[in-house]
Amino acid sequence: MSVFLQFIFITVAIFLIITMYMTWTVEKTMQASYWLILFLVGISILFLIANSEIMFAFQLSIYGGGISVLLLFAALLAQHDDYLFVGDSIFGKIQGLRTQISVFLILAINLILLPILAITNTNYNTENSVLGDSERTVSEAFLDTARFSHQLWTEYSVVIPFLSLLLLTALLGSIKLVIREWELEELSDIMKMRYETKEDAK
Amino acid sequence: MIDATWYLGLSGFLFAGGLFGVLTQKNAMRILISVEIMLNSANLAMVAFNGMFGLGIGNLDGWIFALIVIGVAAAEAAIGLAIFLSVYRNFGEITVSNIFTLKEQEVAN
Amino acid sequence: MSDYDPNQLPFNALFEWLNNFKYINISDNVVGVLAVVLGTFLLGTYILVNQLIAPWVERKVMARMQGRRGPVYVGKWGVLQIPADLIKLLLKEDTRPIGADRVGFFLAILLTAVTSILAFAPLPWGTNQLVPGNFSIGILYIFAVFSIFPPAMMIGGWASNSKYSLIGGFRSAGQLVAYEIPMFFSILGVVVVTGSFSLIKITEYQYTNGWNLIDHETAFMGLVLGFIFFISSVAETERVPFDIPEAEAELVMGPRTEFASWRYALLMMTEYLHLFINSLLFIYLFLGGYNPIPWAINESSALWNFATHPFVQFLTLTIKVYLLVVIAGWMRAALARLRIDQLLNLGWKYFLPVSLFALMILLGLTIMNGDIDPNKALPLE
Repeated sequence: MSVFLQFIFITVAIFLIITMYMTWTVEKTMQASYWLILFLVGISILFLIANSEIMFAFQLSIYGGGISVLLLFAALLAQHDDYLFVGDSIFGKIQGLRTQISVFLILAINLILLPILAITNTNYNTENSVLGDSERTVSEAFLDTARFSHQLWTEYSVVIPFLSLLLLTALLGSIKLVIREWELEELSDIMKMRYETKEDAK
Repeated sequence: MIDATWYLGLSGFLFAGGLFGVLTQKNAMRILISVEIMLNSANLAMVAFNGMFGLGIGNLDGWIFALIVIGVAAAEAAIGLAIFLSVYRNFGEITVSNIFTLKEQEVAN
Repeated sequence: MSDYDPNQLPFNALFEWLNNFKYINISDNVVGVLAVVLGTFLLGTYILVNQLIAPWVERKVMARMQGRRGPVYVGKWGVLQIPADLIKLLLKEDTRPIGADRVGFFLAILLTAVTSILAFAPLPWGTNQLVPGNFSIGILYIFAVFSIFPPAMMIGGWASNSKYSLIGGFRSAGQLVAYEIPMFFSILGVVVVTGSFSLIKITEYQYTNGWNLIDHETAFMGLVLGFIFFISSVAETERVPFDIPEAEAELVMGPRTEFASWRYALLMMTEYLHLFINSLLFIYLFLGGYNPIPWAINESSALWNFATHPFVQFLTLTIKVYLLVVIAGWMRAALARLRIDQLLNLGWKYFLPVSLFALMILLGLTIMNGDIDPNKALPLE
């Protein structure tokens, strides 16, 4: 059964890399937004394989349900398209100093990370590892979810008030940034009738 | 068993990809999208670490921190998009290299 | 119930039955996979057959309430009308507007259809029978899978490259996001009283406590939350009186305007699947699930064997679902459509505070009754 899970992992990993590539190279911002939505769904499937069902639910509902709608609305209201890679050939695509430096950076970071992983792999004590463990029973999954909510109430009880204050501040701040006071002359006739006060009518 | 290094390697690769997007994109919306990619790859590493060390002994710190990161990413996306909308109203575009009022510079193509 | 084992494999009853045919020595894994395939096939057939009957029921009910007869020509009493519609739709030409985004056009259909079918996973059709996935997060899973529907509608509206679709997509997303929150608070109320997200445990709780809708121990907060959940689910499935995104006289079909033959068929299937899932959720959370008895019974009662018989459970569930389909048709025939600002006012200004207060009262009463103890320590191993 774990071969099946490994196969799913590799498929989802390739899917994630493809969607990440598409967010860089499509023309319109809306298209980049929906490739990002597919990326977020792929990450949530990886959470499910890593035996955390509740993170799967949170990722899908918060990212895929909330932030996606936010991104789609903003992409429609500030629509401005541009192209990342100009030209058809490989060398036409890698033009510009910024692109070259950044391509160098991505290769450098990868080449640094993978040997570090290989070196420190021997120090990982993977006896208790349950990633891709197909012998894990359903009662243990129930217990994990119960422990998660229990820890949010007792040990980490500052998380939910902290997040709620942060999100409240973000909500009020973003409304204040975006709000626009209309002059009465800019409105159409029907809206003028609705919002006209007695002082304006004089 | 899925080896833990698979998760960490994938997380590193996606993080580098998000970083590439932040450094090369000219559209502010796409920069925000690449930042979201980076945050998600960090979440993936967090959940993988929890599965490696914590689930066997009932320790769920990784999941809780991943939840905090998701909340912070939501707040940051909201404020960032509000700023982008204000900038779009005033300048007519979101290309980050063209938005300057503090110094004399030609408009880059 | 005492014989419910949460560790059982999916489709355990089928697994046991297939084990009787094991004449050659094949491993348990193969039999397990075969049980899953057979079970998925049976469940899928049941759901799709219901998709062919539920629109017919709704159309007949609507028609009789409006003083006419509905479909009568195709088959006896017009039963074959929906398969005929389906065949007609599939044989039409698949058009796509000029300038429509190809990937986005396909993605909207893909996301809505797939998430509607996936949401059937944690629903039990009886104790110990036909549960595809007993997640620890049963209801949360359905809610998470449903929350992909608003972005998918917006993508579909934008990708159609048409003004009506775009505006319809905006309205749809605004409405759906506004009513997800009261729905979630109502779900939270039931989850707090029961102590588990799993739908099987919620139904078991209603065996020993009576249906949640008419529970007097919670000062009838179950009734308030059930009412809010029902109306929020009507708004979530975009039915009348909340069908402003599909407003036929104004927006043609809203975000679904430009979708042609098989895409339209999938969208209609999605609409009725959503109706089904939300009716099933209301039934599991508030109307007792597959429990045919509204009041509290326990094992010593005379009705226990009747109430836990698998076939009775299955039949009860089907009858309750069709009752809710009839109510949906009734609302569609009788009610007018709300305006978009009335709709959003109702969601944000009235339902959200009422559901929040009801949830707080419910929490207080449950702690006072001693049913849950938030400081109880959990076993670590």
